[in-house]
Amino acid sequence: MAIEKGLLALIITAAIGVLILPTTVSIFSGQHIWYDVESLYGEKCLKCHADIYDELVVSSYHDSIDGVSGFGGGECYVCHRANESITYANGSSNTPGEEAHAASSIACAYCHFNSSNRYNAPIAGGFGLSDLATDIGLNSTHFEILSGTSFSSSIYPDESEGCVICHTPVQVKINFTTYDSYSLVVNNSIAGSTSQWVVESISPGSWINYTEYKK
Amino acid sequence: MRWMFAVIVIISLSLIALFPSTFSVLQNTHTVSNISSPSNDIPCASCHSKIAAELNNSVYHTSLSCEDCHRNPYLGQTVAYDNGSIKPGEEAHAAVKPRCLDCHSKTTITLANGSVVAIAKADAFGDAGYGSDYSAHKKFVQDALNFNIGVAENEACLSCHTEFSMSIEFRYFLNISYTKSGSSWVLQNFNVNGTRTYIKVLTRTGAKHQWINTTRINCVSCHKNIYDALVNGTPQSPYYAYTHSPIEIDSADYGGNTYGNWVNPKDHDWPLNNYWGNPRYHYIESNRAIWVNSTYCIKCHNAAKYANQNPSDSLTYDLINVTSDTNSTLVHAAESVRCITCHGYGKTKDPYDVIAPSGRWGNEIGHRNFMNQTESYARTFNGDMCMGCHEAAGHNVDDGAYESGSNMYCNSCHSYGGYARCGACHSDSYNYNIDVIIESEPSGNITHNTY
Repeated sequence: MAIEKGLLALIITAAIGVLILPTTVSIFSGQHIWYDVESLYGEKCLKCHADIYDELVVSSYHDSIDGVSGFGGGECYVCHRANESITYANGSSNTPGEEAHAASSIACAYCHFNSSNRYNAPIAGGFGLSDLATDIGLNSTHFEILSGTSFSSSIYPDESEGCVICHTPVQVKINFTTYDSYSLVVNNSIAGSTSQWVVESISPGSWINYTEYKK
Repeated sequence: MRWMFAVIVIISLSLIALFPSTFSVLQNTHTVSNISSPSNDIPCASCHSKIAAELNNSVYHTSLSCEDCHRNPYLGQTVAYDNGSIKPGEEAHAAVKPRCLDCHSKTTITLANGSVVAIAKADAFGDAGYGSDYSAHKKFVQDALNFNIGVAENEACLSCHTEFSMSIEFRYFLNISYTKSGSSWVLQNFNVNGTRTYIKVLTRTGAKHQWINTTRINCVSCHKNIYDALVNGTPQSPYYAYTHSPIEIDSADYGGNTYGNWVNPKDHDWPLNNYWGNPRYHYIESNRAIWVNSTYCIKCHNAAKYANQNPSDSLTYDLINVTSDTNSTLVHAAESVRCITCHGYGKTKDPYDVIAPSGRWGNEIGHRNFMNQTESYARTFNGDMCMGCHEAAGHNVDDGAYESGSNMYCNSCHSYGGYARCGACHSDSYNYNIDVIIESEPSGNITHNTY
C-alpha cells in the first residue's frame, strides 16, 4: 500500500510538472528585458519556436530566402511577414499591426503560385492555379487535395495542407473514400437500318473506405 | 483507493501522451524535402500503398514504376520536377492521369528513366480513330470519352482488363415479329415489340491497378444474357428455345431422295455433322454450360483469333477462307457480325449448296431473297431473323409430320399447301405465310403461325 501511495504521488508530480513547469519558467524568465523592435525579429522567433528552427536546419529549401545563406532565424520574418496585404506591427515606422501583429500564417501559394514573387521562388505548376500561362493543370491527379470541392481544411492557410503532405516529412493519416466499381447503362439504339449500343451513363457504383498512413 | 489510483494513472498517462500528439499536428511541416535528384524524390507509395499492393498482384505492369506511367516526359507528360533544373508542371503537378492508349497505341515506349521497352499495342483501338468500325466494342470506347470516371476512354479498358468491379444495365427490345410471306419469300410486317432490361453485376476485387491476364477475359461475364440464351433458354420439348446460335439444318438425304417431293419428302435432318461434312461449328449439342465460353464466342466474333488458337479446327472448317470473309483481323476482341458475314452469297460458308437441292420450284431464290432482305434491317435483328427458322424449338409442334431420326416436326412451316411438306416455304403457288415471333436474349422463346 505504501508503495502504491508513493508511486501515485510520483505520477501526480510528474503530470503536474509536464503541465506547469514550462509555463512557470517562461513567466519568470527575462520578462523585463525588452527587445529592440526596430531590428528584425527573425532570431527572436526561435525563442518560442525552437522546434521550428530544428526543422528548418534540416530542410533542403528556404535557407537563403532572407538573403543570408544558412538558417539563422531571419527566414521566419521573410515568410511570416511577407503578405503585402497585411499590415504588421512595425517599430521602425511606428505602425501598430492591423490584420496581424507580429506574424501571419502564410500560404505556400503566396510565393509558389506567383511568378513575380520577390524571392524568385520556383512556381508550382500543374494545378492550373498559378499565374503561368503554361500551367493548364488539365490532368492533375492531386488537384482535389489543393482546391477540390470535396475537401476543405483550415489547419493551414488556403491549399497549403496539400503542399505539406508531399513536400515535408509530416505524418499524415489519409482516409480515402473512393469507388471500386462503376455502373454502366447501355441502350440498344436503333435508327432505320442501323443499330448500335450507346453508352447512356457511366457513374460510380459501390464505394469503399480505406486508410493510408504516410510516415 | 485502488480505483482512484487507476483513474489518476490513466489520466496522467493520457496527459503525457496527449502533448506529443498535439505537437505532431505541426511537426515537420517546416522541413521541406529535397527533390533535386534526377528521379522522383517523393515516394508515391507512402500515400498510395493500396495501389502498390494492387500492382504487386497484377499480371501486367509490375515491372513499371509509378513514374513510368504518371510522370513520364517521354509520353509528353509535363509535370513538375527538379533535377537540378526546376520545371513547373503544366498539365499536372506531381502526377498525370494517363490514358491507357498513351502507351498502348504504340509498340515501344520510353520509360521515365530513358530506357526503351516493347509493349503490346492494342489491336484496332490502338490505331488512329480506334481502327475499323467492325470492332464490337468501338462505340463503348468512343462513348467513354463522354464520362469522367476515368480519363478519356479508360473506362472501357478498365471494364475488361482489370479487377475493377462494374454493373452493366443493358436496355433493348423484348422481341421481334415478322411474316415470311409465301409470295416470293417477302419479309414483311416487321415489328419491334416491348423493352427488356438486363442487369449484370460483376463483383471483382475492385482493384483498378490490378490487370488480369487477357486469357482470363471472359465474354460471358458481361454478356450473361447471351450465355443464358445459349445455356438455359426457354424450356420446350423436345427442344429448348435457345437463341443466338442457330442449329445447322442439313439437306443430307438419309432417305435417298436427291430432291424430295411430296410423296417421298427430302429429309432435313439435324445430324451431328453439318452440310460441309464436319461436326457442327456453332450449334451446341450438349453440355452447354461448359461449351459456352469466350472460345466459343470467338468462333463467330473473331474468326481470325479462333483459327490462330485452334489450328486443327482451322483446317477442318477452312477458317483461313472464312477469316477472309470476315473483318476479324481488323478488330479489337470481337467483331460485329451478321449471319451473312459468313453465310452470305459467295462466302466460304454460303449455304447455296445446302439450299439449292433441298427441293424444287425456285426455293433457292426464295431463301436467298429472304436472306438478302434481312440486310436492310438493323444488324441487331439479323440473328433473330435467321433464328426464326434456325431455332430448333421452332420445330417442336407435333403435327403428325415427323421426320424420323431427327426429332423434327415439320408442320410449323410445312403444314399447308399442295406439297404438304413443302408448300409454305417452298412454293410461290400457294402464298402461304409464316408469322414468327422470337424473343431476344436471354429467353429466346419462339412461336410460329402458319396460314
